[in-house]
Amino acid sequence: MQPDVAERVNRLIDALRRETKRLDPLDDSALMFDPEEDLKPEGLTEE
Amino acid sequence: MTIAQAGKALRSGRVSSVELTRECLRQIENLNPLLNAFITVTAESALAQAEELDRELARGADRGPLHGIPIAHKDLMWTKGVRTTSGSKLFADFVPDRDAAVVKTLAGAGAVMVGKAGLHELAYGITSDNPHFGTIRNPRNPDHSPGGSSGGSGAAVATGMAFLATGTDTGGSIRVPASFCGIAGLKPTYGLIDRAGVQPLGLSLDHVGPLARTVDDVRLAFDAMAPNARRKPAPQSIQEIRVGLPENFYFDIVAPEVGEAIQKAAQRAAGLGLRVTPVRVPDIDALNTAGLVILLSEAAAVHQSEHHRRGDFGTDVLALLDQGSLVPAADYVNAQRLRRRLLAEFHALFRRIDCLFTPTTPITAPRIGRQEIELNGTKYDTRMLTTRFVRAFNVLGFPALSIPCGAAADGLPIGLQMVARPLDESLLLTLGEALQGQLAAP
Repeated sequence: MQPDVAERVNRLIDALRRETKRLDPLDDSALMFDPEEDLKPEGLTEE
Repeated sequence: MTIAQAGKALRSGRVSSVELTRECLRQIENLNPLLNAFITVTAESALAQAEELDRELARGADRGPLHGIPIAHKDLMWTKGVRTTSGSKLFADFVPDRDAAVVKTLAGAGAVMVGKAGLHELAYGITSDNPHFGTIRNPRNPDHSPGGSSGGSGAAVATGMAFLATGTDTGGSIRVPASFCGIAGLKPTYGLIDRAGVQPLGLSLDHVGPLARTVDDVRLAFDAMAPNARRKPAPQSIQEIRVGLPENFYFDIVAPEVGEAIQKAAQRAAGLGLRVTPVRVPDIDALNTAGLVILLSEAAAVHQSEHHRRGDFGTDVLALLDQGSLVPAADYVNAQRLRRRLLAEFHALFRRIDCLFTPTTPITAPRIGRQEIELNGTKYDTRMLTTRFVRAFNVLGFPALSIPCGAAADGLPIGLQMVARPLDESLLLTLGEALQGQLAAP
């Protein structure tokens, strides 16, 4: 394994964890990307 | 010659599919030794197929706009009886026993396959500098990269080796080569074009789409590739279209010539009567970070059973697979949760606009082998910089079209990326058709 592999992953994960702090811990909505739900045209007009 | 022009010539009898195919094969023979756009050329079967399609047309059987048109498939689309390498040593001798859905659909529409276009190894990178099948070169300047991963598709289309080519886009792999080679490329809405029989990379990020020389040709290709897809109707008039021009992120780290070209494109759009307004886009850095974590994890999962064959991978792809195998499952899950949250923010933005204009890439095609690029006194990793503006729309699944938007002083093309709501490909294509003549050709 190349020497900087772990270091690169750690940097990326640190960046992700800074971003995911904004997630609501009580949000129990669907976990994964769901194209049928997330990309349906009807969803665009729902406020 | 465009696909529509070729179609007209075919139907009037001024040219045959065999002649069009021979012309593409001649281009391949002349240019492929330099550009390395093709891994496999299927001259014999192409000519046989073209002959049959000429006979069909002569007896009045017309399959539509792609009837008799020579095309190329990215060499990760399964083609029955024709080697499909995915640009990888792992699949160097793999001959599929069936066609990918999109290959079958295009053959049914009358397209003639002249060969299998080269790509970055396993579609996992943007240089198309392939350690197993050689370096693919940019037709505008062979010392520069054509972009990737669909680099062979981009080089083939730009030089008339094929009228259109299929591509895949997991983090910019259609739009980056389109931008670097001075052609048009569409990444449609996620899931719109069937991926069955296409070598996967990032399961929730992979998209299939076309590359062609003009937006009109991209439209014909897209119509044929997704004949039964749900789509929203095109706008009645382009003056209805509200264009957002980002105030943040997209013009922060960008080559001055590229930034200026996109600003000028927005002015041209306003000149056509479109409503162009400045907008603040949600957090693209966060989307890029989430997208990288998702891609590393999904690609490691896809190639888990082959990962132990370490000597069969190029250095860069192996390092990415190694990275992916170290990402904790909890972080993959949280990246997906973050993705859904940012999707909601983008849907909110697109209630105020219909289309977002951005540069496709912050720079024009870099020299082959350049690992770092210096921009405004700061050094950037070439891969990260090149995908900075495109990756987010794989994470979101929104459609994005790259069209040529002039050239830098050294002649290398600049690309304009236009992004729309899911299933709004018709809006992008209508807008692209209106704009392409307004933007200086490279």
